Amino acid sequence: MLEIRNLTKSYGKTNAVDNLSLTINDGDIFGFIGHNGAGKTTTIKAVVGIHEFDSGEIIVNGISVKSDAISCKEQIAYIPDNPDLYEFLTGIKYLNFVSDIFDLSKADRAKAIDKFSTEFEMKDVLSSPISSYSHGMKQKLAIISALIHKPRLLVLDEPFVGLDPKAAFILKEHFRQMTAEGASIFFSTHGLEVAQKLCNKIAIIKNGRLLEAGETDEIIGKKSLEDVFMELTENE
Amino acid sequence: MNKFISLTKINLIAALRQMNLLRRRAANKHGSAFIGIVAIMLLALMAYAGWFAYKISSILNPIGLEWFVLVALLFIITFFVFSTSLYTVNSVLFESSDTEQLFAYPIPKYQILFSKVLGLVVENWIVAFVLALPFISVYGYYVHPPIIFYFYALICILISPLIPLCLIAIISYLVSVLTSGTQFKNYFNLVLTIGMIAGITVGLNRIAKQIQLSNISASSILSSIKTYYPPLGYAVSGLYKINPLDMLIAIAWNVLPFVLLCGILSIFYASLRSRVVATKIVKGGKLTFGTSSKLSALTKKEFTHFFHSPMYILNSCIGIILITIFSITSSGQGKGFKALVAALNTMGASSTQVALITFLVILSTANITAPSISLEGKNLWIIKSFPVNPMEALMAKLAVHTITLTPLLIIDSIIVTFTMKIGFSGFIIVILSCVLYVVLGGLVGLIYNLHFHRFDFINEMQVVKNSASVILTLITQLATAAAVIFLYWLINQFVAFNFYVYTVIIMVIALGAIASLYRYLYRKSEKLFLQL
Repeated sequence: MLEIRNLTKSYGKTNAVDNLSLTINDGDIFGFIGHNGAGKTTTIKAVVGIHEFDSGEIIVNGISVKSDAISCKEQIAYIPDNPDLYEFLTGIKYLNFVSDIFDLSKADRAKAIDKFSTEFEMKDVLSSPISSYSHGMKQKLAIISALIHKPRLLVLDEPFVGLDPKAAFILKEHFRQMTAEGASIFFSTHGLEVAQKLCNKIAIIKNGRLLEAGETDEIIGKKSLEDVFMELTENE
Repeated sequence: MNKFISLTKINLIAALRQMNLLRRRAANKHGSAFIGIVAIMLLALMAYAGWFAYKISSILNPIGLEWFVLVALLFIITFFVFSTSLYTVNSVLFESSDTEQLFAYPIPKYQILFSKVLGLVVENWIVAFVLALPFISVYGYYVHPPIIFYFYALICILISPLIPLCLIAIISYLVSVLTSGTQFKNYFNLVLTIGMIAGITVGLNRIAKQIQLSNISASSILSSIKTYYPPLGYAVSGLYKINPLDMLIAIAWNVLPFVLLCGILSIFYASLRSRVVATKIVKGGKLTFGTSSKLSALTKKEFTHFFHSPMYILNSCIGIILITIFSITSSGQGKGFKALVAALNTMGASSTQVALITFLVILSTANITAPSISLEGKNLWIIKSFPVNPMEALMAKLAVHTITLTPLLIIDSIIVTFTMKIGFSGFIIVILSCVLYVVLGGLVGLIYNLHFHRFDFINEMQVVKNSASVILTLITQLATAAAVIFLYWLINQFVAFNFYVYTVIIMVIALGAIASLYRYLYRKSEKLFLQL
């Protein structure tokens, strides 16, 4: 579903991402782990077409992000670490806007919005302006907007930050359900326990370079992910 | 004190950053060019102010009223600060996104308030000095005042922005509080503010008529100004007569209300701010679902943003508002308007030319696209990560610009067709030229904003009023209008060239320019958008 080949992105003389290669297959829940400033967000933003990159290739379902960004984006949903949404819109207007962009029919969007907004307990406030929402509510709205168009690849940057425990649980359930249906999840996190329990694959990155990537069970063996992460990043 | 200085520095940097000066200078990219453009603009403004002051002085000097230049200067500063501070004050004091973070720091709230107020005052001092230098120089040239006059003048320049800032702070706060919590808060906000400004304008007009009715003598004019607007009257009197007592009274009139207002605000700052920014969450409500094309969805989003922000509307549409006022005024057929048209006719300008020149020049100050990309701010990730062609996103912004300005232009053109008797051909010339000019201006604004943008603003006011793309678009539009007018005048110095033929040629050139700019966007938008 997603293949990152030799991705390099620099800001001035600093390499934010250095020759990074990853493969995320259909049905994977892929955890992307690293310390602050390791290059996680830069990689994610390159994948979803927000940042251009210096060299390398990003392939989404066989299509290059560089050559046909629009076709790639049609298959992706992205949720940033900070859910900055259009505060001048109401929740429902924002969801209608997203539905229009992803060409959802009236019936499909009504059904999806009803389902997800009920699950995330947002249905009652969708008529309110987004400016009146709390951080967590904005995060939930961003998640709903990502789920309604049934993306083949869901890319999330720190998705559990700001979510209440129930919403976090529902989101994890959706991860499992989506991957069971063949979609892929690629997300960054500092929550090592979450990554260990939820992800079938993980990658650890430091200073823009990949330290380790593969099946979660193989990487951590009998240790905890926290121990492995500390060993890898301290020894580097 | 160090905390206060740091806060003030931060506020000034936040305001200046929108002009891109700091970033461009740091990156050394287009830096000298941009600073050069700003310098040329300021020099042009000073030259114009100097020419204006010289013209007034040459008329007033023989009749002993040369000091009226000082009245004009202080009135212009007052009016300029008053009109440009509309919403600025409210945005800076109450709606800046950094205020909550600052409240959490161990800094007294009055220091936060004073630093923001000082930032506003310093911004206005810069403009006041740019306007004052030519006026004071011209006055000095005619009157040869003693050295102390220049010291008094400095004091007057420093104190003259204070009262208009106070008035605007009170008006915008009252309007915000009156409208907070209402469903159509922003529309009420806009209408009430325009209403208050109109009320003040009518009041000023009545005062001016009152002054005209009184005996025209230096003392009677001065005493009238002192009565109706003491902060300005005593300042002029102090300057003109080099009178220390009047100067002290002027300082008191200007500074004391300002200090008093700041004192009151500092006590209630946190509670006043929370009342202004409060947004109620409404539970329930019917959910409606409708489908649109991508372009239509993007355009609707842009319209919602535009009409959500009264400050955005006022600042970007001031030109079309003024044209509408001009058109309505022309229908009133007032003596002043008739005299103006007659004077221009005797200079060889036809009514169609007067209407077209007026429309084009005023329309130069209307531009909705110039800040539109910067205003995406932290939401830019949405458009960038969605499957949207950048050209579609840009065309949605252009659509808002064109759709908002064109209907009013058509109505205004119809009005002047009758009031100025320009006929059907005149109407066609005016409307076509102006619509082409609107589209051209929209494209110019977009291109400037693609190149000069900042997304790290702490309030939208900084983008809408001060950003580099807005300033550059304004200069470009004014320069274009001036060039078109000047070229026609120049050609007619050598040969009598038919106005209609000239206008058609200009329209063809404008069409070519529109096609070129569109082509540029079509080719470059994807790359430029990705670099945002």
